[in-house]
This record gives sequence, structure tokens and C-alpha cells, in this order.
Amino acid sequence: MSEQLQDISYMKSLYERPNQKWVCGKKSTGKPCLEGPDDRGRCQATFECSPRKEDDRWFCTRSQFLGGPCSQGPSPDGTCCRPVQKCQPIRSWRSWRGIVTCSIAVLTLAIVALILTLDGGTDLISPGALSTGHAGLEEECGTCHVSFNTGFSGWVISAFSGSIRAENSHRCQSCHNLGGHAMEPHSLSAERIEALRTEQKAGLESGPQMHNSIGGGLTVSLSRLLVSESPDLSCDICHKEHKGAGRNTTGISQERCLSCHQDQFYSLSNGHPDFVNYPSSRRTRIIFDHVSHLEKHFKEDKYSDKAPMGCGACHFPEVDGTKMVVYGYEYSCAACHQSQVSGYSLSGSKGVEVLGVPGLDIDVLKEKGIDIGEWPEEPYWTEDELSPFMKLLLSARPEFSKIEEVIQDLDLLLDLSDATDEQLEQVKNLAWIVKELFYELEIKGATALMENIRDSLKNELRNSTLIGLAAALPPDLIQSARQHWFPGLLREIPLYRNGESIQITVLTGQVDEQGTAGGETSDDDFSEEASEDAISSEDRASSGGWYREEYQLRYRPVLHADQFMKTWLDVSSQSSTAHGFRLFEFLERKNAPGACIKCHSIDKTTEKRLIVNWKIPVTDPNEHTFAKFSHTSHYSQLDEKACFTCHKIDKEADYAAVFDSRDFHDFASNFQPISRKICVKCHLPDQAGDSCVNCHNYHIGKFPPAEIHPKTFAHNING
Amino acid sequence: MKKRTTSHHPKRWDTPFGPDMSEKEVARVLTTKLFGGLDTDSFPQNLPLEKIILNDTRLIKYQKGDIIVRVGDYGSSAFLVVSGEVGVVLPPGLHRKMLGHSEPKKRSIFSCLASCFKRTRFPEVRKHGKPYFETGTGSRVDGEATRVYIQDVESVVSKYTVVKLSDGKMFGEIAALARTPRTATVFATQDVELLEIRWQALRDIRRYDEKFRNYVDTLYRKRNLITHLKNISLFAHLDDADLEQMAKHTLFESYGSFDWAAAYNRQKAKLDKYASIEEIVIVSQGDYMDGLLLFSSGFGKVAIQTNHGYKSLSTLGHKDIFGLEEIFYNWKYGETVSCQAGLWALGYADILRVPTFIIEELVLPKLPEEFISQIERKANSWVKESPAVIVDTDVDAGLMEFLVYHRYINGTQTMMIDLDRCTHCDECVHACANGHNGNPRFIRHGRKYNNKLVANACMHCVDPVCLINCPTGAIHRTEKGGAIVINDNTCIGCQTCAGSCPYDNIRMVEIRTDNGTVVLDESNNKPILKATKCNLCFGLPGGPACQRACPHDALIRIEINNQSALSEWINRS
Amino acid sequence: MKFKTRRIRNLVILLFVIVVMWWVIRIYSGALKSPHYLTGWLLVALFLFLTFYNIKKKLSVIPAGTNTSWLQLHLYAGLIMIFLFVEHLQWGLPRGGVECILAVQFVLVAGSGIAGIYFSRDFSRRLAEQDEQIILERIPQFMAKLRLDAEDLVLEATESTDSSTLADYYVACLARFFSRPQNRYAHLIRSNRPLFKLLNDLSAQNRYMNKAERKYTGRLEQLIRQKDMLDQQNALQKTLKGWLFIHVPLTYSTAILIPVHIVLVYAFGAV
Repeated sequence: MSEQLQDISYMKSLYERPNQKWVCGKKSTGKPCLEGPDDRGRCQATFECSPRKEDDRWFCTRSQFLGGPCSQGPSPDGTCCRPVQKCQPIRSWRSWRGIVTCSIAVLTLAIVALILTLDGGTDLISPGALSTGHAGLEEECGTCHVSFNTGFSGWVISAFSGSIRAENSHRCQSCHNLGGHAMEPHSLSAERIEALRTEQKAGLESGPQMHNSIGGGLTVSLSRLLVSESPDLSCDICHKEHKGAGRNTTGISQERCLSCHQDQFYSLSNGHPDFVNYPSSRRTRIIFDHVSHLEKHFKEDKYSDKAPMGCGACHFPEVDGTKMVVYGYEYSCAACHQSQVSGYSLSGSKGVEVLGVPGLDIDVLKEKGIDIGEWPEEPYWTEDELSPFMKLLLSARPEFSKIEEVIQDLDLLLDLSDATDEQLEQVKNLAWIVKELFYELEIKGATALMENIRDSLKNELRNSTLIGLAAALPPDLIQSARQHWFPGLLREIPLYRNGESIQITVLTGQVDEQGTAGGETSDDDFSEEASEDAISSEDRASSGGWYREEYQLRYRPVLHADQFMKTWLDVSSQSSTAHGFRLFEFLERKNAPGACIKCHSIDKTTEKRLIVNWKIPVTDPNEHTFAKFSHTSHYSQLDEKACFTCHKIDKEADYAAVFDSRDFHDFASNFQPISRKICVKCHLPDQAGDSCVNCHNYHIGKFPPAEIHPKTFAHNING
Repeated sequence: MKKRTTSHHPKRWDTPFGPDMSEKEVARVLTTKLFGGLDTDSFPQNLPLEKIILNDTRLIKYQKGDIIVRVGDYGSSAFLVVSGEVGVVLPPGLHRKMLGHSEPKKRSIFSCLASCFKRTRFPEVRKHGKPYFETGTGSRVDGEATRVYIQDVESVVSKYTVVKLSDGKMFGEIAALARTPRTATVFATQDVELLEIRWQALRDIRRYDEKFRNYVDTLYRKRNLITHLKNISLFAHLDDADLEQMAKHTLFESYGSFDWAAAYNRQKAKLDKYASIEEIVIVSQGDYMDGLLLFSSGFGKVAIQTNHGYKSLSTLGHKDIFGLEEIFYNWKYGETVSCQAGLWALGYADILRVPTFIIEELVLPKLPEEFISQIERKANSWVKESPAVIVDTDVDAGLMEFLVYHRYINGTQTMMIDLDRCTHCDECVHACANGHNGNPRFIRHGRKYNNKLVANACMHCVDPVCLINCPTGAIHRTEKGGAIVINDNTCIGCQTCAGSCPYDNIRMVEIRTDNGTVVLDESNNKPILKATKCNLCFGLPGGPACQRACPHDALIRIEINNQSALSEWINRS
Repeated sequence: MKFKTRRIRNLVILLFVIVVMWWVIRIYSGALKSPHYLTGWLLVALFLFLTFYNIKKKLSVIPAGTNTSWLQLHLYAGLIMIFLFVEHLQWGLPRGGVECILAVQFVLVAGSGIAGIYFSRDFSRRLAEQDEQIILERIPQFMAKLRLDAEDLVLEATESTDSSTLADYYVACLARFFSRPQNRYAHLIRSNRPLFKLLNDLSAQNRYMNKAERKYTGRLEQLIRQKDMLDQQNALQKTLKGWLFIHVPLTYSTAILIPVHIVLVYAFGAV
């Protein structure tokens, strides 16, 4: 071992003082002064000793640590002969560390100050680029962050106000309008949620049970303990921004769903309840029996050329590919069903009687001397003397109710032999109101009709509807009809209104002085030859529209979706009056002209009102439902069974029967419910995925797409 | 044995105790009651009583009130009252402060906190520049020596129970011979002349003069022996009669020199580190075990012959026993095996030798069962195999020798640093400074062996040589805890302690006023010095701060003789 | 307790704590709460705790546990903090300016910490391999001493042997070696190459020396070895102190940025 460098003896080695701030600069030479620097780092050293005077002689008093008294001794004036050379003290390690620490701290403060004050600072504050959808908002942090424009002091304050995230979320909604309950679970009202819950419960009691397992395991059940009754559901809980362009800002984990939901299960494949009647939640609006068509009609020879080759012939996906819809009547149904609509295949009257002259027992009337003026004689009366239309129109007149009440006992107006005077009186009134009606129609035309309809239906109808109801009734037709039936009407009514009694005049076949023709003379307009090859007036109106048959004016549906029929069905179905409703019943008969109700089902709404389902409802692109499914994206999965892979025909189901009822809830679908097993084939964690959000939306309701920020709108107006 | 002869009497008397002892004084001394009664013929030719008196004694004068010895002091000389009268203050003695003893007060957490943050502008700042003494005492310089005196002797005499000793009376001999603390404070009740007899003289006189021997031994037996024996677990089951019996036969032996430290300091410079210094054979391997050896004070090392050297097995200190195994073995199996290992005195050792037959008659037969089986097991392997087998320590031999060689075995609070873990961060030093008003009280350097460093921090020795000859009693053992502390106020900077500490663990500092200027002694314009050292953070809660401050588990304050603790600490990794 | 057992025990506890935290974070996030807040505040708490260690060291006199146990806590808490930090960043990289600065600071602090503990354990051992432990502050004075010794020796050699071989060599190679600390990096990477080179070159000089001169080379060699020892002590001890010059200052500057980060996060209601 080489000899030691250090001498540890108490004389040679003095205390090290690393806790002192300054160290003598001469320490590195091994000969530091004893005084050492002061606390400001100034050298204190002067002389090695301060000599002692003893009777006029000076003695050296140098410290033993400097080697005791020196050889020369003090100079005669008593100053030490060994001045200590001044040094530049150096800092100790600790002191250096302190200085570095302080300066770096100061530097940091400076940087912070710069970031917070400089214009470019916000770029540094921003925690990252925005997603593609929000790109461009970088410039305007204040657009989304309420507190942004309040400056740092404001930030500090708002940092302590707990409400910031909620406020920001409202900013989000200024573009993304999620409705009134945006911040509540599933953006639904508490009531709605409650309703759904009970519904779900009920469904689960009756329907397939789900394993009430510990869902996402212990983790979830512990999370549930943390979830408060009213969780703070600000947007940022699930939507993460500033993750950089092209990053998805949405994401909700399985666990998060399970932490709220009462019924716990692992995944679609494990514990998810089976589908109840999915996808059909009600009977179809258009009555189309897939079974009968596929099994029977399409196989018949006469239709063989018209029968579709596959589902695609009638069904096609909506633009977004989610829902399958039908091409519509013209493309899919008309080929076979047009004749029914136009009424070719209809026996008897092919049009609806709208206006008509009731037949009266004029012999009795004459004999009793009831003054009803002109009245055509013995026309080919129909059984029912007043059509529901006539009744409806007449019901507009105040007298009518009384008339009805009195004459209802009479089984037939054509036999008044044993009618009481009162009844005869009312028959007279009836005759006159009928005449009044025609008089009005003649001199006022369609206007009169429309007014009459309005009064009779006793409810406000939009003009467009009235026009539809009047269906372009041609005035000439009215006039010609009047000339045939009541030639003198224009003369009689004013007199009648003046209270004069006009003798009953029976119009016989021959033409009177005015040259107007009587009742059955219609065919007599033709020459012999003409009447040879003339066809019945019913057939003459085969293209549909208004026509006169005997003492009636009828309307024959023109094409599918005939305005007249449609409007009358709609209006009458809604009507509150007895006559209105009777008319509806009249029109919705299976064999009624147009046969609308053969295919268009009628539903009773929750408000106990009837509606005719004219159309398959189109899905609103803004509608967000709980479940989402895209047909097109599943095309690739189909095997040779094509659509039937999932949609399995249910031959047993009695599809047609249920439509007699008007409750759309009870129904028998042509198809078996989609089975969960089919989905589970692919929807597994490591394949198509089986998390909640694969098939379910979180936000439920009708949300418009992100609006333009109102601010920008205002800007442009104000230039 | 050679070493014994050479080093036991290192050219004695080349430095006489008192420079100014002349034939005349010697003659005067010989007229005193004590020396007059001695039988001069019993002294050997080469060691006549006169010469002993001439070289190993000195006459000192004390003025009225001067304190001569303090209770608790260590001293290696006895005093004979030549003329005048001294007062022995019986317990309860003088107030500690009057003896110059005073420890730092207990400090509250808050004051500690404050001290952590207080930045000391200058090192070693003191309130009082010059040493000052508590009310009732004062100090004066008498030639070389400094005397502390009691101002109002009469009131002390009246207030305390004071036994007067007049001329011819001797005091302090037991403390001197047995190296035990002074049992009472003695002060001069009037101007007095004393003969101070240093331990060498006492020992020789005791050895050669029967009367003196009996006088001292009876005193010693009365005061110390019985209690000492009582405290030894091996004898716990003995009744007083037996103990009396045993005490009667017990012999006192003293090896080495009391001022071993000085000798050690002198020699360690000259010798190479492998030589053993100041080690005196007490029992050689192979000697006949004529008695059981009890350590009353000092240290010994047990070693066995290995080729041309001796391998240290363990060290023995106060209350330790040597030789039980052999004695037991012989007693049990009727054999006569000789001593299996050698015993050396390190520096000095006071031994009580209890003759074998006493042990065999009194102790062993009545020994409780558990003892028997325990000792039997030990004895068997000790004798049949080798003492090395059962010495219960896995402190590696090299380190053992290192600790022994440098006498660190003396330490009860030795600062050891495990250099494998020490990152030189100086946290220990900072902590120490915080605890002592911004002044470290040790230096993080010292002798190292392999990866263990013994730092220069006071070890609070079992045998505190630094206490010897402190003129003002400033350095002393605390009443509680027994740490060695220096009363800064009464320290006069004489450097006696610093000089006599064999470990260089006491350092002198030049003190300053709180504006940083070094305080000079107006009498001689020299900077006022104070002796400073580790005071074991006395008064601070939680023990020595250095150990608590070490973040890396590198530093420990440890009693070297506590072998199990030591080995546990050494073999941590 | 042996260091090994302590280490194993602590690592087990550490692992357990991390697993629990990982789980708690998942639970928390499951409960429709943002885990960033949880991890963030945990980080703040840990940061304060870790920083407190520095203060605790200053309060060494207060009996509040040994610094050893505090350091152990400091180390393992630091490791936990690293885990939390990664979780806080969601195992990704920060994008914002402030976040980046913070992250870099954290990485530096944590990194320097890990480096530090490596130095503390490894360099200490290497320092212990020397015959002597020199107090860092005293190294320069011993270097000066060695330099003087060497110069005296060479002069003496030149005078007594009136040959300049040693002197020439000293001026050529050794003067620089003795003048200031040398071979810092060599020592950091445990390389003895510089020493070997010097000694070999020195012994190579023997060819031009007579017996008398060669006596001096022996002594000179010893001086070189001592100087090399000093160089090593200097290099290692300075590194042992140096790493704290990154660790501590950056900690405090992080302490300044953290509140800013928190205010921004809360003011902008970001997560």
C-alpha cells in the first residue's frame, strides 16, 4: 500500500464544512486561510497573526494550524510580517446547486409568462391538433372553450368554478343539437328512460331471460358503486378532442355501458337477450302477404311473366344502405293489380255515387197534394234512396236532422201510402233541400260543393283538401243533369224561397215546352243506329272521373293513388260526424271502387283515430335509434340463400287475418324473427366485434346534422 | 513473552513525573505516615523506594478552594496530603455545574427545525469568548496549570457533607489503580500541599509492600470487588457467603500501562501496520489454567497461534470471562488440558484471577442446568476442535485485526461507513452541522479496511483517555447515556484531550464572534481555542443525526465489541 | 435486514401497488369519469411526496424516520410515478406545447433519478476499491501536492544524475498529466488505458537510464498511480454529485409548470 495522502491527525486535518456557502480560494493549494470568506464570498484574510506586545517587544502569535510562531517574528511596528495573499473565494457544491436550481426556476417562470402573454402562446397551450371534423377551429379556441377569452386570471377563476365542462358541452350543442335532454343518459328524458326500463323489464319477464351475470366482471361492479345517480355527462367524457387530425373523437367502452345498465351481461354472444320479433315491431302498413305471393300467385302461369325473380325486384337499400325499401306500386304491384284499382274486375257500379235524386212515391204525394214542384217519375231507383255522400252533403242543412229523425221510420220513400202527414211534410222538405242543393251547385258550381262539404264535415279543412274532395266536378255535368231531372228548377227555387207553394208536377218521359228531356231519355239522344253500338255509360267512363248514370252523378277512380278516393278516405276517417264516418265505412269496403283498403291497412292510433297507411314510412336520416344495422354492409356475408339467410319465411303465420283488426300491434309476420345466433356467427370479439356500440347508438332521438354556427350566419348578414 | 519484557517497562524514568523533585523533598516525603511505614528493604535493588518517589511522584500546592479531583473524573494518580487539609464531598456531591460539567439542554422539535433553516454565516460562532465558570467557581492560572476553585469554601462545607482529610491521608488510589471514575470530589479546604503519586509508583509499592497491598486490596475488595462479582452472570446463583469466600481468594492483576494511548500514539508512527503494539501476554496458549480470568477494566484479545503469528478471534472487555471452558472441561472429565488460546492485554487490562479450585468448589457444582449444558457444549468444541470454531462471529479476520490493531474496540459509538454504499453526499456532515449550530463535529475521513471506513468521529470510548487530566472537567461523561461531552464554556482550549485521544477525534477550533472575527485571548493575543467533538447529538431528539441522515444505509454508530451487532451490519450485502 | 431481502420485499410491494392502481384506473374510467383526473392528481400527490424528500433531508435533525427509509420510499414511489405518468399519457405521446415541456421535464427528472441510483450503487463500490477515500473538496490540494512532489523528484533526479531523460519525459508527457484532473471519461467507463500507457511509456524510458536514475522512476510511478487514483475519485465523485444538478433543478421547474397545466386543464374543461 502506497503511503496515505491524507493526514487525519487533529492538527493537520481541520473540519470540512460543506454546509458553508463559500470556500477559501486557496483551498486547492492546500493552504487555505483560517479566517475563510464571509457569507458574501469576500476574502477576509489579512495577516497570519496579530502580534502580542510584551514590554516593548512584539511576539508572533501565529496559530498552531499555520505552524505556530514564525521564524522572522513581527516587524518593529508590530504588524505581522506575513500578510495573507487575498483570494477569490469559490462557491461550495451546495451553493452551486442552489444557484442552478434558482436560475432554472426563473427561466421556467419566464417561459410560462411568455406562453401566457404572447399571441403565439395559444398554440403552445393547445394540447394538440383537432380532429378533421373540427379542423379550422384551432384559431378560435373560444368557440368551444367558454373561458378562453377571459385571459389567464379568468382561467384561474374558471378553473375553480366546477361548471366549466358543462358550459363547454353547451357550446358543443350550439352546433350538435341533441335536443332538450342532451346531457341526460342517452339524450333522453328521464321519463322516457323509465318507460323503456319498465318495457324492457316486461319484455324480459315474458321473453328470453338474460344471464344476470356480473357483466364486465368485478371491475364493472365496482365501477357501478362509483357511478352517481345523476352522472355528470358532459360531452368530453366520451368525446376526446385534440387527438390530432383524422383521429376518432368518439368512443364508449363496454364497461361504461355496463356501469349504468341494470341488466348485466358480457357481450352479444354471451348473455345478450334474444331478439323479440326483430326487426318487425308492428304489422306491415301495406298488406302484402309474402307467403301467398311467393307460394301461390308468382307460381300461377298467368303471372309467370310478371312474377319477380328475387327480392331485389321489389326491395332496394336506402341511400345510406341501412334500411331496405320497396320500389313502390307502379314498379312492383301495378302489373297485376292495376285492373282492380281501375275497377275493370269490379261487378256493378264501378264508381262511387256522389250526387243523386232520391226516388219518391209521387202518386201518394200527388193525391195528398204535397207541393214539391217538378219531380221526375219512376226512375230506376236504387235500393238505397240517399247515398252516404248525399246524406253527408244534406246534413250541412239545419232541417236535415229533423227530416232524418222523422222519416227514418219509413222503410222506403217509394211507398208513402201509410205515411203520416208529418212524415209527408218532412218528405216535402227533403225534396226541397235536395232541389236547393242542385240549385246551389248549378249557380255556384264547385264552390257551393266545397262549402257544403266544409259545413257538413264540421271541421276546418285546408283549401287544398277541399279541392281534392271536390275533385274537379265539371259544372256542365251538373247543368245537364239538372236539365234532365229538374228542368224548371231555376224558376221554382226562387218562388219556393218566396214561400209560394208550387204544385207537384210529375215529369214524364216526353220533352216539355222548354225542350228539356225527362228522366230516362238519356239513351233517346242517340239515333237508332247509334244506340245499336252504344255501350253503357259506366263503361264509357272507363278512364275514370265524373259521369252521370240515371239519376246519379258518380266518380270513378282514375289511377292508383287517386286524389278523390285518397282524400275522402283520409278526411272521412278523421271525421267526427256520424255521416262522415258512415261515408268512411262506405268507402273502405273491400269491393269499393279503387279497392284502396285491399292493400292499404288501417291503423287505430293511440288517440283512437284511424289512419290509412298510404306509404311505407321513409326513415329520417336524422333519426337515431337504439339499434343500428346496415343491410348493404352485410351483403358480403350472404350465402346462396341470399336474403333468406336471415329473413326466414314463416309459412304457418296467418298474415292476412290480423288486418281486420285495427290494432297494428297484434300481427303475424311472414318472417320468423331474426335469430341472435345468426349475428353471433360473425360478431365475436376477435371478428366483427361484439361490443355494445357495434349495434347500438348512445345518443337516441332525432338530431339534425351539425348546424352552421349562428355567429357566422349573423356575420354574413351584417356584411 | 519477549514483548512483555521489552514493552512493559519502556525506559522508565527518562521523564520524571515531577521535574522539581529533589533528594530533600524525597526525604520529606519519606517522613510522612504512609511512606514512613513502608518497608524499604522489600523493594528490589533496581527499584528502591527513594527512586520511585523521586521519579513517580511530585509535590503540588493547591490554594484554598481549589478543586483537586472531581467525581466521575478519570485519573491515573493518587494523592497524599503532605500538609494542610482537603475536603471530600460525600454524595450528594457538589452541583455538576460547579464541577464544570454541563451538557446541552434538551431541544424542542421547533428549535431543531429552526436550526435546520438557520444559515450560519460563520463557523464556530460563540456567545462567550473566554471560558467562564458557573456561579460559585472561578479559575486561575498557576504556572502551567489552570486551577478551578470554589469561591465560598465555608458555605460549601456547611451546605454539603464534607469529610476532612488532613496530612498523611491518601485519596484517589483506588480510582488510580482500578482505573475507575473518581467516586467523590475533593477540594482544598485550606492551602494544601499534596504528593501526587502516579499509578506506576502505586503499582510497585503495592507489589512490594505487603502492608500497603493489604490496605489497598481490602479497600478495593470492600468497595468494588463484591459488586463486580455479583454482576457476573456466571456467579449469579452464589450466595453472599460464597462471594465473600471468592473475593477473599481473588487476585488482582494489572497488565500494560494506563497511558497506553500515549504509548500507542508514540509507537504507531514507527511500526509497520502488521506489528502488534502495546500488547502484553496475559495467558499464553498452552499455559496451565490456574484461575478464571475476569476483566475488570481494559481490553484483551483472544488469539491462537497460526504459523508465525497470532490470529485474533475476539476481544474481551469489562465483565468478560476467559478460561471457563478449560476449567470446566478439566473439572467435568478429570483431564488437565492446558489453555487452548492465548490472551493478550490490549494497551492495559485489569484482571481478577479467581483461582481454579474456588471455581471447582463453589461455582461449577451449583451451576444451574441450562448453564451446564451450554458451557459443556462450548467447552467440548473449544477443547476438542478449536476455540476458533465457537467464537461466535463472522466478522472477517482481516477486519477484526484492523479493529484490534487500531484499538477501535474501545468505541461504543464508533462511526463506521460502508463504502460500498457511501455516495460521499455529505448528508451526514450537513446533519451534524445542523445539530451543532452549523458546525460539523466529525470529518468524513479516516482509516479504512476494504470497504469499511472508520470515520474521525468520537467513539465515546469505554476507556475515555481523553478525560484524563482535563484541568477544568470540561470534558466528561454525561450522567445519562454515558456519552463523552465537552462543556464548551469551561473548556480552556488546553488541547490535553485532543492530544491524548488516540483516534484524533477531538479537534481544536478557533472561535469567532457572530460577525466572524476570530476571538483573541487578550492575555496573549492568540486565538481562543475550544476542543470540539461529536457529542452524539446530546439533547437532540432521536439520537445521532449522522446515522439518521444517511440516505444509503452506509453509516452506523456501533459498539465494536458488540460482535453480533457488528457482524450483522457488516454482512448485510 | 439484508439488502437483498429488502429489495425483494419492496419490489413485491411495488408490483402489487402498480397492479392495484392499474385496476383502479380502469374502474374509475368505467364509472363514466375521466381517468386523467385520477392519474393526474395521483401524480401531483406523488410529486409532492417525492419533492418532500429533498426538504426532509434538510430537516435531518428532526426525528422523522431515517433518510434511508425515506430514500427507499422515494425510489419506489418514483417508479410508481413513472407508471402513472405513462397511464396519464394513455401510453401515447403528448401533443400540446405545455404538455410536451412537462413530459420532457418528467422524463429528464425520472431518467436522471434512475441514472443517479445507478451511480450511487456502482460508483460507490468503485470508489471503495481505492486505498484511500479523498474528500472531494480536498482533491485539488492533493493534486497540487503530487504535482510539486513530482516536479521536485524530477529536478532532484536531473541534478543528482545530470541526465535529462526523466525531465524530458516529464515535460513531454507527465507535466500535463499532473497539472489538472485527467481522463475523466476513461475513469467513468472503468478504463485503465491512460494509466497503463503512462506507466509503459515511463518504463520504456528505462532504456536511457542508469541505475541511479531508475531509482527515481519507481517513486515517480507511485506518484503517477496516486494521481490516477485522484483522477478516478475526482471523476466518480463529481458524477455522484453532478446528476443532482439535473434532478433537483428540473424538479423545481416542473413544480412551476404543474400548476399551470392544472389550471389550463380545469379552465378549459379538458380531459
